[in-house]
Amino acid sequence: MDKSILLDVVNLKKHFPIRTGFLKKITGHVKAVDDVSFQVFEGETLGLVGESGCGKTTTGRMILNLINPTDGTINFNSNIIKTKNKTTINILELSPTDLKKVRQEMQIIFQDPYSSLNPRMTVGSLISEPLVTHKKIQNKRDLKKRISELLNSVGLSDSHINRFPHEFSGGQRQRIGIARAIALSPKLIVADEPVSALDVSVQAQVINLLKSIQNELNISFLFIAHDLSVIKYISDRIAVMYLGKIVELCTKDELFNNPKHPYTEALISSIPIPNPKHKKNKIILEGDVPSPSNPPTGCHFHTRCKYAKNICRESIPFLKNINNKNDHYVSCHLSQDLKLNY
Amino acid sequence: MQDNVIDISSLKTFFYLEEGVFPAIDDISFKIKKNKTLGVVGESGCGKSVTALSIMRLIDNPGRTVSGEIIFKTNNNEEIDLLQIDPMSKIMRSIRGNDISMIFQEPMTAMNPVFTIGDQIIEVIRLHKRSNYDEAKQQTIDILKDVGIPSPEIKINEYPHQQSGGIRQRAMIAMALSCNPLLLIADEPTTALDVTIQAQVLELMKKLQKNYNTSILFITHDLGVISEMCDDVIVMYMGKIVEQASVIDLFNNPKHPYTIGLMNSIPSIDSNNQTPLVTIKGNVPNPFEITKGCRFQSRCPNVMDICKKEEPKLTNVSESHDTSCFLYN
Repeated sequence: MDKSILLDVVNLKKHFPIRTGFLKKITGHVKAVDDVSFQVFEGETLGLVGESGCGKTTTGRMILNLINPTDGTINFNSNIIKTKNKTTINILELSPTDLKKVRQEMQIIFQDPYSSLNPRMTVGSLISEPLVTHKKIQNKRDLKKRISELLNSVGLSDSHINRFPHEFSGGQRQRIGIARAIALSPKLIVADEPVSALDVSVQAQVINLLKSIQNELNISFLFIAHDLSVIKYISDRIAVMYLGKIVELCTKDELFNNPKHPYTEALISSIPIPNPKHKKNKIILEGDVPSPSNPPTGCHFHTRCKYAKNICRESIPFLKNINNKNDHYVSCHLSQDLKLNY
Repeated sequence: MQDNVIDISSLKTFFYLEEGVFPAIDDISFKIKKNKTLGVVGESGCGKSVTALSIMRLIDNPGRTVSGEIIFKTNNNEEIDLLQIDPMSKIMRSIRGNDISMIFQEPMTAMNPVFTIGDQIIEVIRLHKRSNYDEAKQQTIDILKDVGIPSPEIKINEYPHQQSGGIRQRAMIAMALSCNPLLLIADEPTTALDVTIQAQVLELMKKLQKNYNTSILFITHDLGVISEMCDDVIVMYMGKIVEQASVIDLFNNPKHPYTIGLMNSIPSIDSNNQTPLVTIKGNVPNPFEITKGCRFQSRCPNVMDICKKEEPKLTNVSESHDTSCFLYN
């Protein structure tokens, strides 16, 4: 690979315990994220797509160590903290002080712009908080200059500095959240469904903003969404998740032109296309997503997969490379034999 | 003249709030053809849901339907103006849920959590059809089977919280269709669902529409869903209809700058275009500060002098295609 790796996630797991009864005995586990591995390169956008409850958000939060993983490693190429002989550090092994320092380089944008901004803080103090916490700017005048720079770069104006979040619309609030995330010029931003709560016309504005910020500041995005058309527009590579596992990971053109996993095929075909003349063979999956506390044996998707064979019910498929460029990963026993038509 | 199930003319529903009068729907007129689906699309706050609730006569204080006509054609070809009926009266109650029924966006809050799914559907059937319990129960099982719920004999004794979102929405559809309504109002029926489940539910609704001969008023903000489900479409902006056309005309030849803007705002799944999305600038203005002229003027790329002075009227641009914009006058 010619691109340098910014983030390398290896065998990440998060099992939430289910406790029942008076003594709160652990009676089972919800395998929210189950053995997930992927890499994010510098300056690229990796899209993470899947249905509700598949573990997208949990994965995103674990990368910032906001949720403590059950198992696995998260290697991050940090400029601030270095270990000998290695280019990356394992975030999960850092001391709390080091972790705080590293978090300057990784930020998060939340889905709901209404609950992620403190209603008692002005826009100015919201955006300056990361700068103050990490003691980046001491001088008040410089701080003010930086805030107005940030506001301008997200399309807001200086006059907004002393206003409170409730005075803004959803799209503007999301812009404030973005300004706060880029305040420390991070290397990685985890964008957790940043546009799902917005109306289409505003959604397009925010998507354009995220793209232009990425070009200017060379930030990598882990972009979490459930909307495939948004994911396709913004991502370079896409990972599809189903029940806590990545089922397919490849470049976006490859994913949409040559999907190899039956779930990806069904997901793509079920997007409603805004063109009444567009007639296509819809693949309609039967049934619901099984419960992650009691996932099916073998391949998690076999209960809804029309191609399922005996092997799918018995053994769990692993994510493996299937093309010679080493950039298309699928976890399906039958990926070599299936002729998926989209 | 084609048969219309419902014919709405100059409907106005206003909300009287402390801050002032909020015109949620301001003078809209449309018709729904028999056995066809009319889509209503627009952004949040444009009056889509208020339109649905006005037809159902479910507008509560501080809102009031101020004027207009809602002519509804019943089974025996009687024409009644729903606005002339007291919303609390027996007649309205016999229409609501029977001749006109509704599917809500969030099935969890629309169903009663302390009654089983079966009880809730049986209640509807017994109330409107005056059948006895056993008949109603059998009908309920049949209709649950129709909407594709596995083992309905067991499901009727279960509660809404025990079901997944997809099953709950199917039960909701079953309840709405239980009395063979002439008009089904679906208010964002798939917005809370995942794409694969959404595909299931949309397919089901299309199938049921054929079997039950129902007209549908389909409210959504998703243009993709509109293009798959609807025969005719209304585009709303700030309580007004800005464009009205058949689904093919609307997507091939959108006229109003707002419709064009909406379509450009969606990232297309088919193209590999990497140019920035064309957006509609700005935000929806504050509804209390409606200025003179066209409501879209502050965001319109083609704004002219006349747009600031006069309000455009819905005018015909081609057969069955109307738009309210001075560009086409």
